[in-house]
Amino acid sequence: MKNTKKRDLILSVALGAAVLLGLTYVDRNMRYSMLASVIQKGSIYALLAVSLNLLNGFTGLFSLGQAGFMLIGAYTYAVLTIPVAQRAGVYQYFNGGALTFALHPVLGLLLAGATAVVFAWLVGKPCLRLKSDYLAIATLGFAEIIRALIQWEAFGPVTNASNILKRFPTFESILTPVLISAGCIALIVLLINSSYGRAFKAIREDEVAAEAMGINLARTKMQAFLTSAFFAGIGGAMLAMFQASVQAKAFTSAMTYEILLIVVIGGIGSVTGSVLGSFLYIACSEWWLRFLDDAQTYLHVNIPFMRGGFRMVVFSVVIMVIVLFYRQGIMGTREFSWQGIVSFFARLGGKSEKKAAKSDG
Amino acid sequence: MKKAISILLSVCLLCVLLAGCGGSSGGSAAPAASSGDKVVKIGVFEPTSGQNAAGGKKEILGIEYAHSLYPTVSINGEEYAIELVTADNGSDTAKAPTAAQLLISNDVSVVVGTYGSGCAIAGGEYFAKAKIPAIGTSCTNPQVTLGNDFYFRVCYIDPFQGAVMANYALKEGCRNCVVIVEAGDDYSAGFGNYFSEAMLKEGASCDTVTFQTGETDFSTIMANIKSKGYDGIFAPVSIETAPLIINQAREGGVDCQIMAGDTWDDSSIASRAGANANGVFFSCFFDQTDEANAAGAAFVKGFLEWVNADPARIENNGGKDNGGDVAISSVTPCGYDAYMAAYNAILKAQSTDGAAIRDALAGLEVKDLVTGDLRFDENGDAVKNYVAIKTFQDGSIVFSDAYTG
Amino acid sequence: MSSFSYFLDLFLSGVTVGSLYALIAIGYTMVYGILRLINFAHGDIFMMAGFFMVYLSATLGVAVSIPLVLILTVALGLLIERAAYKPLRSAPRMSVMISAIGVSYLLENLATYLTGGLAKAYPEIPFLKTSYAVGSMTVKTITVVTPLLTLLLVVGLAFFIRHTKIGMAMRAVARDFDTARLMGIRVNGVISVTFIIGSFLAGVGSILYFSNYGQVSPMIGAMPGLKAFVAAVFGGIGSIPGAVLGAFIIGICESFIKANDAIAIFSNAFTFALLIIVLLFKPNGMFGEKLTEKV
Repeated sequence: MKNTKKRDLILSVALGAAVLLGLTYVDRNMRYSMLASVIQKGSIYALLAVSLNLLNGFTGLFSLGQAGFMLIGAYTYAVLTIPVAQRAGVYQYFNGGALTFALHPVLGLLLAGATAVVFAWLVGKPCLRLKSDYLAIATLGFAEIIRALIQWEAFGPVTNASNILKRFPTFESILTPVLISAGCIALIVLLINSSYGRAFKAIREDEVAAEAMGINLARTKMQAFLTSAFFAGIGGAMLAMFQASVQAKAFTSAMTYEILLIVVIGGIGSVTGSVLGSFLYIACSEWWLRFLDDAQTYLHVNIPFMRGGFRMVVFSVVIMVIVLFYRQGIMGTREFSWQGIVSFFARLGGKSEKKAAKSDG
Repeated sequence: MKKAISILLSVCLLCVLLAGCGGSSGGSAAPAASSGDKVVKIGVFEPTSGQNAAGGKKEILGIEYAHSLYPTVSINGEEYAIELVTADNGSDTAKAPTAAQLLISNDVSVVVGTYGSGCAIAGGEYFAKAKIPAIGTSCTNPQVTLGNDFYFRVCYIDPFQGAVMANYALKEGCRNCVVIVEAGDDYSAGFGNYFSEAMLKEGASCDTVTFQTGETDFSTIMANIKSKGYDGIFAPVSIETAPLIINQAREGGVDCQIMAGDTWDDSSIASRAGANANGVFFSCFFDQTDEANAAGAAFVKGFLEWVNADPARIENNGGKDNGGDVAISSVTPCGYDAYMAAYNAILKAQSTDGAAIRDALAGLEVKDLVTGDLRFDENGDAVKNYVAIKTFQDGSIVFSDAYTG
Repeated sequence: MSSFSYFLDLFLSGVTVGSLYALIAIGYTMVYGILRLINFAHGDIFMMAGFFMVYLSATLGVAVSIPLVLILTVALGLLIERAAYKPLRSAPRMSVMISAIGVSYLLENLATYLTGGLAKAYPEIPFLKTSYAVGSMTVKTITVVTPLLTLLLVVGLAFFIRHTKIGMAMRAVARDFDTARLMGIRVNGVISVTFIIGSFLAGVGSILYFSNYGQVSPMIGAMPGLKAFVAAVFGGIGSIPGAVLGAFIIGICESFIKANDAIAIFSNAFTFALLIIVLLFKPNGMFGEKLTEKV
């Protein structure tokens, strides 16, 4: 049995270095290209997908409130970090707003996650003991309630009510979101591989059996819920930084559905799948498949059905096909491993060898 | 079964990707010049889908018409072909940044648009970072240009429009108004705010009611209005919500004066609200029957000819109204004027560099554009003092009055 | 302007909206009772019915279109059931719900693509568009017709379920899926009938709803669908009278909340807050049956 650990380590370090070099190159020369945009948004959605997967895939709690936590994270970050000099301009209808200080972006990010955790605790206390279907609707409803609260005129001095929040610190380089995401995802993976993660999986498999084995259902579910909300809050704050502006109206249940679909495409229960699925989804929807929305002439014949909106229809059909026929998604429950890649290529090589042998014999 | 589907999907995907490679790398471009010619790209940042699609498409028509009249520009003695690159911002402030990035990645020198202040504000942050000037068409919220050195606009702004509408309301005898505002919409909230302020300054009273996006049932709000006895309703809302408010107001027995802003200049509102809309008046940028505006008359004549030449253009302009004519929405000249501003700025800067064009825009003066002379103030807003007031009459839009101050 | 007629205005408004939610809620509660599936696509079937009417009446005229629309809506409901839910019947609950979300997504995007994202004017049904004066108020015909029609349909449905063989089969399948199958009940047929009834009611609801407001837009089904589901949960899943009552309560409360300027923005949020509160104290809804979980 070969010692694969050393090989794996070398390969991982090499891959990491290559990725960092590649990103630095893109950052220097193609800062505003679509590739840069896809890399940033893809890594943000990767974190969001993994946070949802933690809840849905690893713990089996069907929650549809992700957009609500993202919204809280985004607004907390934006509200706390707008430079004091800009506040009067942004809070134009509320006399400069209620806050007169601005925090450092890193502190803003952490507080974004923390605020999301507080709200998650408030929501989780009553809702986590509901049946899975009711939990879905309750969390969906909670996201709706949060949106209405933030848009309320009475909170205007803090949230700017219906108006956009902008001028807060954004990403200087594309490495920032990638590194933050990678760090958070690494934390989540550590959590999943620990005893807490095993408790989550036990609940997913069979709640009654888990309880019989001594796992405190309510507490463990709350842990999963809070962790997921924390990272969703950070993801929301990063999304705000990426977009350079944030408005409550955009954080609808459609956003949660998007993330859910990314999780499904990647494979419920696979972190690698969520990351892959996220980049694939963002690249396709923002970049590669945009041409579906424009009138195309193919050999001087106008293809009649390609116009605005076609891209989303194609998307929805692909998603339905995946949900119906490829329920495992891309990765199923498997994770990334060098051994997996090596054996994949070995199998391919083995197949062609076997075929050659057959045709000879 | 699964295998068959996999093969079918792969084949489809391959075909589609091949087709995609043939097209441009993202935004759609008007027919480009043959390779070897010099090209300068103008980005068109408009909504062609979503809530504001109707207005966006009309502005694009104005831009395309201007492009058909001025397809090339001369820089340093050479003829550059102007190429339009369109990116749809989906009427959504979350999609606007990606649309903006699409334009930036396509190396546009200047951007024209958008309809819908929210998206303009969202996209504006990116244009400023990439140092590409943008010229707003009909986005009236002051936040679009405030603090953003790279955003200009060819229309008036909401504080001005709000004051004009308040004056009009008071002239009509409305001293106790209610403003109906859409939650989450910068334009609606901002405009409503300025109208309210102007009314209060004159000693009249003004309350605000907010509804959620997508709301279709206003019967309760109308019952509330009826019971409180307001004598004027000001509703700066989208084209989609307008007929709902008008119809449900009249059906609910509310017969006070209804007023609105530039978003209501659309024939679909006239046809869907029908007789209920008679007497409703709103402010807008342009009046096509104004004889005194020579540039306007020339624009109207040329534009009608151009639109009628292609049924697709008539479709994008909202079809034909009750009289069988093509109506010209007041946002179309805004698109035209914005393109002309970009054109003149490129001419003045004699360069395709964004920063140079921006500096040219700051000091630009163009005479006799469709909505009047064009000059930008220190914020990048156009110095405009003309507002047209229009009203609905039996399913069509009719000019009522003009305000020049 | 007397406060009584103001109060009546609000109340009638709430009753109209509530009865529309009721028609949609029945579809939700029936499907959930039998399949334990939240049919997220139900609200979008309601929206598609509206578009069917818009496009059909442009060529065929209103009178012919109404029955055609109902038939098409039922066909759509059946198609969705066969294509998206049946294959996943043995899959875990989450998969089916994701499938439902996927169908909802597909329908919304399809409608946006076909219509360009803008609202389309709904044809006027002459009979429903009239209104007459009662005292100092104007009452629209549709405000009266809608709740009456809803109650009629609900009573008819209750009769159907209590006194026909198929109704009994539906009740059996809702009580215990596997035992019903063992007893020889054609479960597929029962499920199809459930979807037919649900879609039919959604179709009727769509005609009444869109006649009232005059326009259809692609995203219009999402919120009424969710609220109707909340009504169904509120009243107790599996209980049709409960769903109807829940729908009326939600409609009326919503009406009174919208009338108050300060909190009008919470009209949607209120519905969900109500749901959470009800579920805290009565996890099975107001009239729901107590289900014991066997290990």
